[in-house]
Amino acid sequence: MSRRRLLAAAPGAAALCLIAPASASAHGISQRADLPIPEWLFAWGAALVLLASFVALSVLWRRPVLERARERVVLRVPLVLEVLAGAIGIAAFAAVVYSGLAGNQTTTANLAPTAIFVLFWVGVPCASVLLGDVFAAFSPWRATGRLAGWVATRVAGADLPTPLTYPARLGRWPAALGVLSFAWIELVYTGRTDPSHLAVLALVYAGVMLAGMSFYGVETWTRNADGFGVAFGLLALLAPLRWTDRELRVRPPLAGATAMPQVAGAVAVVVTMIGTTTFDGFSQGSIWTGTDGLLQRLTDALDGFGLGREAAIQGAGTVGLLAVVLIVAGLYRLGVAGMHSVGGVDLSSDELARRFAHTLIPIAFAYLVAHYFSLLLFQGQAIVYLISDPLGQGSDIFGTSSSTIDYSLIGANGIWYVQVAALVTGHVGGLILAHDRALVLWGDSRTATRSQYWMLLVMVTFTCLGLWLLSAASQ
Amino acid sequence: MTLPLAHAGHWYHAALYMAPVILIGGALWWSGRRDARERAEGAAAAPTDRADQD
Repeated sequence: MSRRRLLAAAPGAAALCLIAPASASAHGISQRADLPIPEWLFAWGAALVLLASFVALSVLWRRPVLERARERVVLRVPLVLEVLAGAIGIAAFAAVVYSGLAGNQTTTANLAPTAIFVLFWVGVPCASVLLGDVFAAFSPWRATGRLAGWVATRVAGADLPTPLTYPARLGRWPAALGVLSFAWIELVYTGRTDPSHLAVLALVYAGVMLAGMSFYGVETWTRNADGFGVAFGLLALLAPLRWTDRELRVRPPLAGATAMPQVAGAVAVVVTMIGTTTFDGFSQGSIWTGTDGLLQRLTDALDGFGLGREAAIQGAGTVGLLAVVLIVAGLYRLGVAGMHSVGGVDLSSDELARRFAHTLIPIAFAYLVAHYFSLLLFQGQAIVYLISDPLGQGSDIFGTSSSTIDYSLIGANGIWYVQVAALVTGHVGGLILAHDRALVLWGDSRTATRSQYWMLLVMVTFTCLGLWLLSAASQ
Repeated sequence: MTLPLAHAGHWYHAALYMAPVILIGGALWWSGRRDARERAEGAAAAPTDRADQD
Protein backbone atom coordinates (compact mmCIF):
# COMPACT_ATOMS: atom_id res chain seq x y z
CA MET A 1 0.00 0.00 0.00
CA SER A 2 1.45 3.36 -0.93
CA ARG A 3 1.94 6.07 1.69
CA ARG A 4 -0.64 8.20 -0.11
CA ARG A 5 -3.25 5.49 0.17
CA LEU A 6 -2.48 4.95 3.84
CA LEU A 7 -2.90 8.65 4.50
CA ALA A 8 -6.16 8.62 2.59
CA ALA A 9 -7.43 5.63 4.58
CA ALA A 10 -6.79 7.20 7.99
CA PRO A 11 -9.60 9.80 7.91
CA GLY A 12 -11.99 7.08 6.74
CA ALA A 13 -11.14 4.91 9.71
CA ALA A 14 -11.50 7.92 12.01
CA ALA A 15 -14.92 8.64 10.57
CA LEU A 16 -15.97 5.04 11.22
CA CYS A 17 -14.91 5.45 14.85
CA LEU A 18 -17.16 8.45 15.22
CA ILE A 19 -20.16 6.82 13.59
CA ALA A 20 -19.95 3.52 15.43
CA PRO A 21 -20.43 4.27 19.17
CA ALA A 22 -24.04 5.37 19.13
CA SER A 23 -25.27 2.22 17.49
CA ALA A 24 -23.11 -0.06 19.58
CA SER A 25 -23.85 1.46 22.97
CA ALA A 26 -27.52 0.89 22.29
CA HIS A 27 -26.90 -2.84 22.59
CA GLY A 28 -25.89 -2.50 26.21
CA ILE A 29 -22.22 -3.43 26.10
CA SER A 30 -21.19 -2.99 29.72
CA GLN A 31 -18.58 -0.38 30.48
CA ARG A 32 -16.83 1.33 33.36
CA ALA A 33 -18.81 4.03 35.07
CA ASP A 34 -18.59 7.54 33.62
CA LEU A 35 -16.26 6.74 30.71
CA PRO A 36 -16.97 9.23 27.95
CA ILE A 37 -17.05 6.51 25.28
CA PRO A 38 -17.60 2.73 25.38
CA GLU A 39 -14.54 0.69 26.36
CA TRP A 40 -14.32 -1.09 23.03
CA LEU A 41 -13.98 2.25 21.27
CA PHE A 42 -10.65 2.70 23.03
CA ALA A 43 -9.45 -0.28 20.99
CA TRP A 44 -10.50 1.52 17.82
CA GLY A 45 -8.78 4.69 18.96
CA ALA A 46 -5.64 2.76 19.89
CA ALA A 47 -5.62 1.08 16.47
CA LEU A 48 -5.92 4.49 14.87
CA VAL A 49 -3.00 5.83 16.90
CA LEU A 50 -0.90 2.86 15.76
CA LEU A 51 -1.92 3.42 12.15
CA ALA A 52 -1.07 7.12 12.38
CA SER A 53 2.28 6.29 14.04
CA PHE A 54 3.04 3.83 11.26
CA VAL A 55 2.34 6.46 8.61
CA ALA A 56 4.40 9.05 10.48
CA LEU A 57 7.32 6.61 10.76
CA SER A 58 7.22 5.83 7.05
CA VAL A 59 7.25 9.54 6.18
CA LEU A 60 9.55 11.01 8.81
CA TRP A 61 11.88 8.17 9.89
CA ARG A 62 13.97 7.47 6.78
CA ARG A 63 17.24 6.29 8.36
CA PRO A 64 17.99 3.94 11.26
CA VAL A 65 18.37 5.97 14.42
CA LEU A 66 18.10 3.59 17.37
CA GLU A 67 20.39 1.00 15.82
CA ARG A 68 23.15 3.59 15.61
CA ALA A 69 22.54 5.34 18.92
CA ARG A 70 25.58 5.86 21.12
CA GLU A 71 26.01 5.52 24.85
CA ARG A 72 27.70 8.04 27.10
CA VAL A 73 29.41 7.24 30.40
CA VAL A 74 28.07 9.46 33.17
CA LEU A 75 29.27 7.75 36.32
CA ARG A 76 31.84 5.31 37.65
CA VAL A 77 30.31 2.81 40.07
CA PRO A 78 32.55 1.83 43.00
CA LEU A 79 32.95 -1.88 43.75
CA VAL A 80 31.54 -1.38 47.23
CA LEU A 81 28.13 -0.51 45.75
CA GLU A 82 28.07 -3.77 43.83
CA VAL A 83 28.93 -5.71 46.97
CA LEU A 84 26.32 -3.82 48.97
CA ALA A 85 23.60 -4.46 46.37
CA GLY A 86 24.43 -8.17 46.33
CA ALA A 87 24.33 -8.30 50.14
CA ILE A 88 20.94 -6.56 50.18
CA GLY A 89 19.64 -9.03 47.60
CA ILE A 90 20.79 -12.03 49.64
CA ALA A 91 19.36 -10.56 52.88
CA ALA A 92 16.00 -9.80 51.21
CA PHE A 93 15.84 -13.32 49.78
CA ALA A 94 16.62 -14.83 53.19
CA ALA A 95 13.97 -12.67 54.85
CA VAL A 96 11.30 -13.68 52.33
CA VAL A 97 12.14 -17.39 52.55
CA TYR A 98 12.26 -17.30 56.38
CA SER A 99 8.93 -15.44 56.52
CA GLY A 100 7.38 -18.00 54.22
CA LEU A 101 8.61 -20.96 56.23
CA ALA A 102 8.33 -19.68 59.80
CA GLY A 103 5.59 -17.06 59.59
CA ASN A 104 1.83 -16.93 59.74
CA GLN A 105 0.48 -18.99 56.84
CA THR A 106 -2.31 -16.51 56.04
CA THR A 107 -1.47 -15.14 52.60
CA THR A 108 -2.10 -11.47 53.36
CA ALA A 109 -0.37 -11.52 56.74
CA ASN A 110 2.90 -13.01 55.48
CA LEU A 111 5.60 -11.05 53.66
CA ALA A 112 6.46 -13.82 51.16
CA PRO A 113 3.45 -13.79 48.76
CA THR A 114 3.35 -9.99 48.41
CA ALA A 115 7.13 -9.72 48.13
CA ILE A 116 7.26 -12.40 45.41
CA PHE A 117 4.15 -11.71 43.33
CA VAL A 118 3.98 -7.93 43.67
CA LEU A 119 7.32 -6.39 44.57
CA PHE A 120 9.49 -8.90 42.73
CA TRP A 121 7.40 -9.85 39.70
CA VAL A 122 5.88 -6.41 39.00
CA GLY A 123 8.01 -3.90 40.90
CA VAL A 124 11.40 -5.07 39.64
CA PRO A 125 10.35 -4.96 35.94
CA CYS A 126 9.07 -1.38 36.40
CA ALA A 127 12.33 -0.41 38.10
CA SER A 128 14.27 -2.11 35.31
CA VAL A 129 12.54 -0.10 32.58
CA LEU A 130 13.23 3.14 34.45
CA LEU A 131 16.67 2.51 35.94
CA GLY A 132 18.24 -0.26 33.90
CA ASP A 133 19.14 -3.78 34.93
CA VAL A 134 18.97 -3.34 38.70
CA PHE A 135 18.16 -7.01 39.24
CA ALA A 136 21.60 -8.05 38.00
CA ALA A 137 23.07 -6.16 40.95
CA PHE A 138 20.57 -7.40 43.56
CA SER A 139 20.06 -10.97 42.28
CA PRO A 140 20.57 -13.17 45.36
CA TRP A 141 21.67 -16.25 43.39
CA ARG A 142 24.09 -14.28 41.21
CA ALA A 143 25.54 -12.56 44.29
CA THR A 144 25.83 -15.90 46.09
CA GLY A 145 27.46 -17.50 43.05
CA ARG A 146 29.99 -14.68 42.75
CA LEU A 147 30.69 -14.76 46.47
CA ALA A 148 31.18 -18.54 46.35
CA GLY A 149 33.56 -18.15 43.41
CA TRP A 150 35.55 -15.46 45.22
CA VAL A 151 35.80 -17.51 48.42
CA ALA A 152 36.75 -20.68 46.51
CA THR A 153 39.49 -18.81 44.63
CA ARG A 154 40.90 -17.44 47.90
CA VAL A 155 40.78 -20.82 49.63
CA ALA A 156 42.27 -22.72 46.69
CA GLY A 157 44.90 -20.03 46.18
CA ALA A 158 44.60 -20.45 42.41
CA ASP A 159 42.14 -19.91 39.59
CA LEU A 160 39.10 -22.17 39.57
CA PRO A 161 38.74 -24.77 36.78
CA THR A 162 37.32 -23.40 33.55
CA PRO A 163 33.50 -23.82 33.46
CA LEU A 164 31.88 -26.19 30.97
CA THR A 165 30.98 -24.76 27.58
CA TYR A 166 27.34 -23.72 27.59
CA PRO A 167 25.49 -25.48 24.73
CA ALA A 168 24.69 -22.85 22.09
CA ARG A 169 21.56 -24.69 20.93
CA LEU A 170 20.17 -24.49 24.47
CA GLY A 171 20.44 -20.69 24.33
CA ARG A 172 17.77 -18.99 26.40
CA TRP A 173 15.31 -21.86 26.37
CA PRO A 174 15.95 -22.58 30.09
CA ALA A 175 15.05 -18.95 30.85
CA ALA A 176 11.83 -19.29 28.85
CA LEU A 177 11.02 -22.41 30.86
CA GLY A 178 11.77 -20.50 34.06
CA VAL A 179 9.36 -17.69 33.15
CA LEU A 180 6.71 -20.22 32.14
CA SER A 181 7.16 -22.14 35.39
CA PHE A 182 6.83 -19.00 37.50
CA ALA A 183 3.69 -18.00 35.58
CA TRP A 184 2.31 -21.51 36.14
CA ILE A 185 2.86 -21.15 39.87
CA GLU A 186 1.29 -17.70 39.88
CA LEU A 187 -1.73 -18.51 37.73
CA VAL A 188 -2.38 -22.24 37.90
CA TYR A 189 -0.79 -23.87 40.95
CA THR A 190 -3.38 -24.26 43.69
CA GLY A 191 -0.79 -23.87 46.45
CA ARG A 192 0.30 -20.43 45.28
CA THR A 193 -1.29 -18.68 48.23
CA ASP A 194 0.57 -20.83 50.75
CA PRO A 195 3.64 -18.88 51.97
CA SER A 196 5.58 -22.01 52.92
CA HIS A 197 5.10 -23.52 49.45
CA LEU A 198 6.40 -20.32 47.89
CA ALA A 199 9.41 -20.28 50.19
CA VAL A 200 10.30 -23.87 49.31
CA LEU A 201 9.91 -23.15 45.59
CA ALA A 202 12.15 -20.07 45.95
CA LEU A 203 14.81 -22.24 47.61
CA VAL A 204 14.52 -24.86 44.87
CA TYR A 205 14.92 -22.19 42.20
CA ALA A 206 17.95 -20.70 43.94
CA GLY A 207 19.43 -24.21 44.23
CA VAL A 208 18.96 -24.87 40.51
CA MET A 209 20.56 -21.52 39.69
CA LEU A 210 23.58 -22.16 41.91
CA ALA A 211 24.03 -25.67 40.49
CA GLY A 212 23.90 -24.30 36.93
CA MET A 213 26.39 -21.55 37.79
CA SER A 214 28.79 -24.06 39.26
CA PHE A 215 28.82 -25.95 35.94
CA TYR A 216 28.71 -23.17 33.38
CA GLY A 217 29.94 -20.10 35.23
CA VAL A 218 27.98 -17.36 36.98
CA GLU A 219 27.64 -14.91 34.11
CA THR A 220 27.00 -17.43 31.33
CA TRP A 221 24.29 -19.19 33.34
CA THR A 222 22.68 -15.93 34.49
CA ARG A 223 22.66 -14.56 30.96
CA ASN A 224 20.95 -17.62 29.50
CA ALA A 225 19.17 -19.72 32.08
CA ASP A 226 17.99 -17.49 34.92
CA GLY A 227 14.39 -16.80 33.87
CA PHE A 228 14.12 -13.71 36.06
CA GLY A 229 17.58 -12.41 35.18
CA VAL A 230 16.87 -12.77 31.47
CA ALA A 231 13.32 -11.38 31.60
CA PHE A 232 14.22 -8.36 33.73
CA GLY A 233 17.39 -7.86 31.67
CA LEU A 234 15.32 -7.72 28.49
CA LEU A 235 13.00 -5.11 29.96
CA ALA A 236 16.03 -3.14 31.12
CA LEU A 237 17.07 -2.82 27.47
CA LEU A 238 14.26 -0.26 27.13
CA ALA A 239 15.78 1.92 29.86
CA PRO A 240 17.79 5.06 29.19
CA LEU A 241 20.38 3.81 31.71
CA ARG A 242 22.83 0.95 31.37
CA TRP A 243 25.01 -0.41 34.15
CA THR A 244 28.06 -2.20 32.82
CA ASP A 245 31.69 -2.72 33.76
CA ARG A 246 31.20 -0.59 36.89
CA GLU A 247 30.00 2.30 34.77
CA LEU A 248 26.64 3.97 34.39
CA ARG A 249 25.92 4.90 30.79
CA VAL A 250 23.03 6.82 29.27
CA ARG A 251 21.42 6.17 25.90
CA PRO A 252 18.15 7.04 24.17
CA PRO A 253 15.16 5.08 25.51
CA LEU A 254 14.40 1.92 23.47
CA ALA A 255 17.86 2.02 21.84
CA GLY A 256 19.19 -0.74 24.11
CA ALA A 257 16.58 -3.16 22.75
CA THR A 258 18.39 -3.24 19.40
CA ALA A 259 21.23 -5.04 21.20
CA MET A 260 19.04 -7.94 22.27
CA PRO A 261 21.06 -11.13 21.70
CA GLN A 262 19.71 -13.18 18.80
CA VAL A 263 20.33 -16.57 20.32
CA ALA A 264 18.26 -19.74 20.47
CA GLY A 265 15.24 -19.30 22.72
CA ALA A 266 15.43 -15.50 22.67
CA VAL A 267 12.06 -15.20 20.92
CA ALA A 268 10.59 -17.80 23.28
CA VAL A 269 11.40 -15.72 26.37
CA VAL A 270 9.58 -12.60 25.14
CA VAL A 271 6.68 -14.57 23.70
CA THR A 272 6.31 -16.43 27.02
CA MET A 273 6.30 -13.14 28.92
CA ILE A 274 3.49 -11.80 26.74
CA GLY A 275 1.62 -15.10 26.56
CA THR A 276 1.57 -15.70 30.31
CA THR A 277 0.31 -12.17 31.02
CA THR A 278 -2.29 -12.62 28.31
CA PHE A 279 -3.45 -15.83 29.96
CA ASP A 280 -3.70 -14.01 33.28
CA GLY A 281 -6.15 -11.57 31.70
CA PHE A 282 -7.99 -14.25 29.76
CA SER A 283 -8.37 -16.48 32.81
CA GLN A 284 -10.32 -13.74 34.59
CA GLY A 285 -12.91 -13.37 31.83
CA SER A 286 -16.20 -15.22 31.55
CA ILE A 287 -15.12 -17.26 28.51
CA TRP A 288 -12.70 -19.02 30.86
CA THR A 289 -14.43 -18.78 34.23
CA GLY A 290 -18.12 -18.84 33.23
CA THR A 291 -20.43 -21.61 34.46
CA ASP A 292 -20.11 -23.30 31.08
CA GLY A 293 -16.71 -21.77 30.36
CA LEU A 294 -13.53 -23.34 29.04
CA LEU A 295 -12.10 -23.98 32.53
CA GLN A 296 -15.19 -25.93 33.53
CA ARG A 297 -15.22 -27.97 30.32
CA LEU A 298 -11.51 -28.75 30.40
CA THR A 299 -11.65 -29.63 34.09
CA ASP A 300 -14.59 -31.98 33.51
CA ALA A 301 -12.76 -33.61 30.61
CA LEU A 302 -9.58 -34.14 32.63
CA ASP A 303 -11.54 -35.25 35.68
CA GLY A 304 -12.79 -38.10 33.53
CA PHE A 305 -9.26 -39.56 33.56
CA GLY A 306 -9.50 -40.03 37.33
CA LEU A 307 -6.92 -37.35 38.17
CA GLY A 308 -8.94 -35.88 41.02
CA ARG A 309 -10.61 -32.47 40.99
CA GLU A 310 -7.61 -30.38 42.08
CA ALA A 311 -5.25 -31.99 39.58
CA ALA A 312 -7.90 -31.62 36.86
CA ILE A 313 -8.25 -27.88 37.60
CA GLN A 314 -4.48 -27.45 37.44
CA GLY A 315 -4.35 -29.54 34.28
CA ALA A 316 -6.99 -27.32 32.67
CA GLY A 317 -5.04 -24.22 33.69
CA THR A 318 -1.86 -25.70 32.28
CA VAL A 319 -3.55 -26.45 28.96
CA GLY A 320 -4.97 -22.91 28.84
CA LEU A 321 -1.65 -21.31 29.73
CA LEU A 322 0.27 -23.27 27.10
CA ALA A 323 -2.42 -22.68 24.48
CA VAL A 324 -2.34 -18.90 24.99
CA VAL A 325 1.47 -18.80 24.85
CA LEU A 326 1.34 -20.79 21.60
CA ILE A 327 -1.33 -18.48 20.17
CA VAL A 328 0.85 -15.44 20.94
CA ALA A 329 3.83 -17.20 19.33
CA GLY A 330 1.66 -18.02 16.31
CA LEU A 331 0.55 -14.41 15.94
CA TYR A 332 4.15 -13.22 15.98
CA ARG A 333 5.20 -15.88 13.49
CA LEU A 334 2.31 -14.83 11.24
CA GLY A 335 3.64 -11.27 11.22
CA VAL A 336 7.15 -12.54 10.48
CA ALA A 337 5.86 -14.77 7.67
CA GLY A 338 4.12 -11.75 6.13
CA MET A 339 7.33 -9.75 6.45
CA HIS A 340 9.27 -12.61 4.86
CA SER A 341 6.87 -12.67 1.90
CA VAL A 342 8.03 -9.16 0.93
CA GLY A 343 11.44 -10.58 -0.02
CA GLY A 344 14.47 -8.40 -0.59
CA VAL A 345 16.56 -9.86 2.22
CA ASP A 346 18.34 -13.18 2.22
CA LEU A 347 17.13 -14.33 5.61
CA SER A 348 15.03 -17.30 6.63
CA SER A 349 11.77 -16.84 8.48
CA ASP A 350 13.41 -18.12 11.70
CA GLU A 351 16.24 -15.63 11.34
CA LEU A 352 13.79 -12.79 10.72
CA ALA A 353 11.85 -13.84 13.81
CA ARG A 354 15.03 -13.53 15.87
CA ARG A 355 15.99 -10.21 14.28
CA PHE A 356 12.63 -8.66 15.18
CA ALA A 357 12.15 -10.31 18.58
CA HIS A 358 13.28 -7.13 20.34
CA THR A 359 10.17 -5.36 19.01
CA LEU A 360 8.13 -7.50 21.41
CA ILE A 361 9.94 -6.22 24.53
CA PRO A 362 7.92 -2.98 24.84
CA ILE A 363 4.77 -5.03 24.31
CA ALA A 364 5.73 -7.41 27.10
CA PHE A 365 6.20 -4.42 29.41
CA ALA A 366 2.98 -2.79 28.22
CA TYR A 367 1.05 -5.97 28.99
CA LEU A 368 2.70 -6.19 32.40
CA VAL A 369 1.80 -2.60 33.29
CA ALA A 370 -1.71 -2.92 31.91
CA HIS A 371 -2.45 -6.08 33.86
CA TYR A 372 -0.58 -5.46 37.10
CA PHE A 373 -0.42 -1.68 37.52
CA SER A 374 -3.28 -1.60 40.03
CA LEU A 375 -1.85 -4.61 41.87
CA LEU A 376 1.47 -2.83 42.30
CA LEU A 377 -0.18 0.43 43.27
CA PHE A 378 -2.50 -1.03 45.89
CA GLN A 379 -1.06 -4.33 47.10
CA GLY A 380 2.43 -2.83 46.80
CA GLN A 381 1.53 -0.56 49.72
CA ALA A 382 1.16 -3.66 51.88
CA ILE A 383 4.95 -3.95 51.89
CA VAL A 384 5.06 -0.95 54.25
CA TYR A 385 3.37 -2.88 57.05
CA LEU A 386 4.66 -6.29 56.04
CA ILE A 387 8.32 -5.31 56.46
CA SER A 388 7.53 -4.36 60.04
CA ASP A 389 5.73 -7.63 60.64
CA PRO A 390 7.08 -10.04 58.02
CA LEU A 391 6.00 -13.16 59.87
CA GLY A 392 2.52 -11.84 60.55
CA GLN A 393 2.91 -12.48 64.24
CA GLY A 394 2.36 -8.99 65.63
CA SER A 395 5.89 -7.52 65.57
CA ASP A 396 6.56 -3.87 64.67
CA ILE A 397 10.23 -3.76 63.63
CA PHE A 398 10.17 -0.42 61.78
CA GLY A 399 7.11 1.09 63.43
CA THR A 400 5.00 0.80 60.27
CA SER A 401 2.93 -2.28 61.07
CA SER A 402 -0.23 -0.23 61.56
CA SER A 403 -0.13 1.42 58.13
CA THR A 404 -2.94 0.55 55.74
CA ILE A 405 -3.57 0.44 52.00
CA ASP A 406 -4.94 3.66 50.54
CA TYR A 407 -7.42 2.58 47.89
CA SER A 408 -8.29 6.18 47.00
CA LEU A 409 -5.00 6.78 45.15
CA ILE A 410 -6.68 6.21 41.80
CA GLY A 411 -10.17 5.26 40.65
CA ALA A 412 -11.32 2.56 38.23
CA ASN A 413 -11.40 4.98 35.33
CA GLY A 414 -7.91 6.28 36.13
CA ILE A 415 -6.61 2.71 36.09
CA TRP A 416 -8.31 2.12 32.75
CA TYR A 417 -6.65 5.20 31.25
CA VAL A 418 -3.25 4.07 32.52
CA GLN A 419 -3.86 0.63 31.00
CA VAL A 420 -4.86 2.08 27.63
CA ALA A 421 -1.91 4.48 27.65
CA ALA A 422 0.50 1.66 28.56
CA LEU A 423 -0.76 -0.57 25.76
CA VAL A 424 -0.69 2.17 23.13
CA THR A 425 2.75 3.45 24.17
CA GLY A 426 4.19 -0.05 24.31
CA HIS A 427 2.93 -0.94 20.86
CA VAL A 428 4.06 2.33 19.33
CA GLY A 429 7.47 1.51 20.84
CA GLY A 430 7.31 -1.88 19.15
CA LEU A 431 6.47 -0.25 15.82
CA ILE A 432 9.38 2.17 16.15
CA LEU A 433 11.83 -0.64 16.88
CA ALA A 434 10.48 -2.73 14.00
CA HIS A 435 10.67 0.18 11.56
CA ASP A 436 14.22 1.02 12.63
CA ARG A 437 15.34 -2.61 12.19
CA ALA A 438 13.56 -2.86 8.83
CA LEU A 439 15.50 0.18 7.59
CA VAL A 440 18.74 -1.59 8.47
CA LEU A 441 17.74 -4.85 6.78
CA TRP A 442 15.94 -3.55 3.70
CA GLY A 443 17.91 -0.38 3.15
CA ASP A 444 15.41 1.75 1.27
CA SER A 445 12.61 3.32 3.21
CA ARG A 446 9.83 2.26 0.81
CA THR A 447 10.51 -1.49 0.98
CA ALA A 448 11.20 -1.26 4.71
CA THR A 449 7.77 0.29 5.22
CA ARG A 450 6.13 -2.34 3.02
CA SER A 451 7.80 -5.10 5.03
CA GLN A 452 6.23 -3.73 8.19
CA TYR A 453 2.59 -3.89 7.12
CA TRP A 454 2.24 -7.26 8.77
CA MET A 455 4.03 -6.17 11.91
CA LEU A 456 1.56 -3.29 12.09
CA LEU A 457 -1.23 -5.83 11.97
CA VAL A 458 0.44 -7.85 14.73
CA MET A 459 0.78 -4.73 16.90
CA VAL A 460 -2.85 -3.74 16.32
CA THR A 461 -3.92 -7.29 17.15
CA PHE A 462 -1.95 -7.34 20.40
CA THR A 463 -3.32 -3.91 21.37
CA CYS A 464 -6.95 -4.81 20.71
CA LEU A 465 -6.49 -8.21 22.34
CA GLY A 466 -4.96 -6.59 25.42
CA LEU A 467 -7.81 -4.11 25.77
CA TRP A 468 -10.43 -6.79 25.24
CA LEU A 469 -8.86 -8.97 27.93
CA LEU A 470 -8.73 -6.09 30.39
CA SER A 471 -12.31 -5.21 29.64
CA ALA A 472 -13.52 -8.81 29.88
CA ALA A 473 -11.66 -9.33 33.17
CA SER A 474 -13.36 -6.33 34.75
CA GLN A 475 -16.89 -7.50 33.96
CA MET B 1 -24.01 -29.32 23.31
CA THR B 2 -24.53 -25.57 23.73
CA LEU B 3 -25.11 -23.64 20.55
CA PRO B 4 -22.49 -20.94 19.89
CA LEU B 5 -25.40 -18.50 19.70
CA ALA B 6 -25.93 -18.91 23.45
CA HIS B 7 -22.52 -17.26 23.95
CA ALA B 8 -23.17 -14.50 21.44
CA GLY B 9 -22.64 -11.90 24.16
CA HIS B 10 -19.00 -12.95 24.59
CA TRP B 11 -18.27 -13.15 20.89
CA TYR B 12 -20.07 -9.95 20.06
CA HIS B 13 -18.03 -8.16 22.71
CA ALA B 14 -14.80 -9.66 21.36
CA ALA B 15 -15.79 -8.84 17.77
CA LEU B 16 -16.14 -5.16 18.64
CA TYR B 17 -12.59 -5.14 19.96
CA MET B 18 -11.21 -7.13 17.06
CA ALA B 19 -12.96 -5.16 14.31
CA PRO B 20 -9.97 -2.80 13.77
CA VAL B 21 -7.76 -5.86 13.26
CA ILE B 22 -10.08 -7.18 10.58
CA LEU B 23 -10.38 -3.77 8.92
CA ILE B 24 -6.65 -3.10 8.84
CA GLY B 25 -5.85 -6.71 7.90
CA GLY B 26 -8.37 -6.55 5.07
CA ALA B 27 -7.01 -3.21 3.85
CA LEU B 28 -3.43 -4.55 3.88
CA TRP B 29 -4.43 -7.73 2.05
CA TRP B 30 -6.35 -5.75 -0.56
CA SER B 31 -3.54 -3.24 -1.10
CA GLY B 32 -0.97 -6.04 -1.25
CA ARG B 33 -2.92 -7.68 -4.06
CA ARG B 34 -3.26 -4.36 -5.83
CA ASP B 35 0.47 -3.63 -5.50
CA ALA B 36 1.29 -7.08 -6.87
CA ARG B 37 -1.07 -6.56 -9.80
CA GLU B 38 0.46 -3.16 -10.56
CA ARG B 39 3.98 -4.62 -10.41
CA ALA B 40 2.95 -7.44 -12.72
CA GLU B 41 1.39 -4.97 -15.18
CA GLY B 42 4.49 -2.77 -14.97
CA ALA B 43 6.73 -5.75 -15.69
CA ALA B 44 4.57 -6.76 -18.66
CA ALA B 45 4.61 -3.20 -20.06
CA ALA B 46 8.39 -2.72 -19.72
CA PRO B 47 9.52 -4.73 -22.81
CA THR B 48 6.96 -2.85 -24.98
CA ASP B 49 8.37 0.50 -23.79
CA ARG B 50 11.87 -0.60 -24.72
CA ALA B 51 10.62 -1.73 -28.10
CA ASP B 52 9.02 1.72 -28.63
CA GLN B 53 12.34 3.42 -27.82
CA ASP B 54 14.13 1.21 -30.29
